[in-house]
Amino acid sequence: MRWTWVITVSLFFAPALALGCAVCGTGPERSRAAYISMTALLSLLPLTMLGALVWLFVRRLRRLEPKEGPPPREVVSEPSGP
Amino acid sequence: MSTQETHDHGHGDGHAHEPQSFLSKYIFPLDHKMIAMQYLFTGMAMALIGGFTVYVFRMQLAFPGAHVPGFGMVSPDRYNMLVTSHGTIMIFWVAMPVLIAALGNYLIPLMIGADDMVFPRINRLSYQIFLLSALVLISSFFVTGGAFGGAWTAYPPLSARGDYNATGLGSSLWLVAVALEFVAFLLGGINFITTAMNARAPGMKLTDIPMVVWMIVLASIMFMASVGPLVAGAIMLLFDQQLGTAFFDPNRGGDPVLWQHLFWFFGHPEVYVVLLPAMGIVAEVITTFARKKLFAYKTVLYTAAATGIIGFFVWAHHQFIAGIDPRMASLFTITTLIISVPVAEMLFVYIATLYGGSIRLTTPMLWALAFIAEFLLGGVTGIFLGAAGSDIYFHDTYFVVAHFHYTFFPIAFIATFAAITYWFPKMFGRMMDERLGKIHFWITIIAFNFIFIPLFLTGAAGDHRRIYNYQHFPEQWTPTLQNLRILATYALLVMIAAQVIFFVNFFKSLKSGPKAEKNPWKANTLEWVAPSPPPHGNFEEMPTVYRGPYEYGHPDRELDYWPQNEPA
Amino acid sequence: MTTVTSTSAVRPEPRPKKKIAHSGVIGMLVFVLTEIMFFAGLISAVTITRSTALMNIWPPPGQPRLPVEETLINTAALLLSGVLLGVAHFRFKKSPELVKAPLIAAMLLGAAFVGLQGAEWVALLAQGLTPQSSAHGAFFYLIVGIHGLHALAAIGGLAYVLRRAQQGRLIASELHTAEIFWYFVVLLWPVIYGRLYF
Repeated sequence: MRWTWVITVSLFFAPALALGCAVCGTGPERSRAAYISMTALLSLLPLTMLGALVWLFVRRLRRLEPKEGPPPREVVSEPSGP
Repeated sequence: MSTQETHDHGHGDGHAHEPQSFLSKYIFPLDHKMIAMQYLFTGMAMALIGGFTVYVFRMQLAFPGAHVPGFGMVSPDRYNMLVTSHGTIMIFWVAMPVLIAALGNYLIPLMIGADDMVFPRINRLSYQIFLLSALVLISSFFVTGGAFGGAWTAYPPLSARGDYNATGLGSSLWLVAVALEFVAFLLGGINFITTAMNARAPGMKLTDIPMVVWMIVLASIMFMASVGPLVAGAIMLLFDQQLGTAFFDPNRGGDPVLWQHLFWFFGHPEVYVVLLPAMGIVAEVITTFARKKLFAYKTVLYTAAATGIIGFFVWAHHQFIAGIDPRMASLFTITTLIISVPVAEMLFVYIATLYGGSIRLTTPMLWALAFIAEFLLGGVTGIFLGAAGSDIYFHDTYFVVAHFHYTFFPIAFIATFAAITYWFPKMFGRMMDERLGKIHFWITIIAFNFIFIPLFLTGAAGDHRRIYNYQHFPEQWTPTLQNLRILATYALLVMIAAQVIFFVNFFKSLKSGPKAEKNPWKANTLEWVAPSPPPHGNFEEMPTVYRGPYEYGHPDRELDYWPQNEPA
Repeated sequence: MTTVTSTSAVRPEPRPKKKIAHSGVIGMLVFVLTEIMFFAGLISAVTITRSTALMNIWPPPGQPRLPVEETLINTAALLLSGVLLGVAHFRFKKSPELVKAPLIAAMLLGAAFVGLQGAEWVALLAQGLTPQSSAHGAFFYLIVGIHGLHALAAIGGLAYVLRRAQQGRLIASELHTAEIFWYFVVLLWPVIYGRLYF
């Protein structure tokens, strides 16, 4: 079981060797690293910001709640399920 | 400023019930419903242009060199122009305005029980900028050199230099139009998100919001978070074209792959931006016509959010042969295969909703069921393209084209037809003709499959998508493959002809259909509480919400539906 | 099963609704999110282009070095104006009248930033750094120019707030909406400065 992990991770670094595409060339390592890091930046930045906004709104909502007494705690609507 | 003075239900200056002049009612309206109609009709008009372009170039592919009725001979540069225009128009000027802008504008305030958008003036500005963008795009057909001919993805260096793509001015106008269009949807998106957060009817909890509203809001959030880099890229490309900078020119220190990086960062989330509203429409239609609660409301919501999140990590699968790092390719293969899980889960939930329901096969229901079936085919064929190994073979073949259309046609047309036929009584106060609607449905669906199944086959046989005349490629100019191309073209002609039935039905019903009552489908959501068509200000009496949107077949009630606003 | 559903469908009369934030503030936050992504696109473009530079030499041979030290003055002016707007924010809580002085100072500092940037452009153009001369110049004028346009728009927003304050009609949400945009412009600048000038 432990070996599955090791094999998976090492396979992750293999594709550079195994790539059989005749028309695909890649740039120097420096440029590849820039692409990877900027891909990570572009992908993670919006999610981080949205997460922060959602967190902020949820916190504000929590602060607004207790002022008016405990919310009604009878069955919260559960529209899911048949 | 109207935007600053919003009250509980978010009414700005749009809150007026007095009669208005023609100009302020139809040309410069603040009413969200009228703006939605403007978007809808503009989108329909653009669909006609997009449909005409596909007719011309499919004729060229089936009968190379022949005279195309209504157009004439198709030269290679004209062919590029037509293909580019078809892709751009159908995605940016049909799918986006109809699914997001028109339905979002129409449905969000009505379904959450508000009398208008939170920012009515920004809403009006949004449509005006959108109209301007459409006019800029149409004007590009008439400039020297013609409309842009560098494919809808506009890869440089082909798109960066007028002497490469032979459409110097056209390509700049194309970029300006696309950028303006994004600004328009940006303004619309701000409105949708804020309205859904702040203008909900009293009592409406987050889990009482109808699914289609959730989906449009989530799609808007995705759009807003992904569009920035593409606008940045568009400005850079415009500078390359007009100012002679070298952002994408490798001879002078630029990097052409950079454009793909920026373009696909938007380009792939865009797929989910249009998919989510379509999924929401289907959720509304199937619950109403199966008379059943949506199976696992929260699951649908979470899978939609998961789709949105994973949707930001799949885009490099468009670049598997563009020279990206193979390590990145393997990573993006994994994420691409993962994203099929939440999408498939949504489809399973819809099938579970249908299970055991008392299904009524009305026209909107037929469209919704067809969406599930056809989109499933599109999703499954996407697996081959998401995996880097098989994509190297399939890249840029007709297999990709067929896969893409099996996802986008259900989204942009099948779901839209479901929405139009479902909400038509609310929008115009009259019922559509069911018989014509069903004829239109069956012809369209059968013809659609006859167009794209042959293209899967030609694509697997190696047909490259950017070739305008296969006679120049003897390996591909075999009778079998050519017959498949001709079959696809004939099916397309049938499908385009079937749309005449739709327009006849639409305008006939608009003029002389039977009057619709408030709630013809016996549905629960708040828009059916308003009169048909709703007046300016939407509701006779602002509704209060007491329950979720899908309370069908409740055991304690005689009626099998329970509107959200009815007190217990 | 039946009992659960029947209770779940019955709910007490809803209470008046609370808002998380004012619509203008939410709208502006969403807009700023989009803007941040726009600049993230530009910054990722610079980073990638720099990584492909020949022999890793940047700026490219024959291109002037950007005036790192002089620009520190601009940077300081802009950051200070952000601080002053923060002062205005807290003084507004005491009395809406008190925002005027820090608001005017923040606007002037912002205008000074844009003016100094303009002077820098003129000097650099004279030294041979043009949008066409290299990717370095192209990115410099593109990003700094767009940031400058944002600064002008944000100053316009502050001017609107100032007019409302002079009329005595300024409300908190207007001030906060304009503030968010100005903080965005201010805090973005150090990132651009760090990426472009060094």
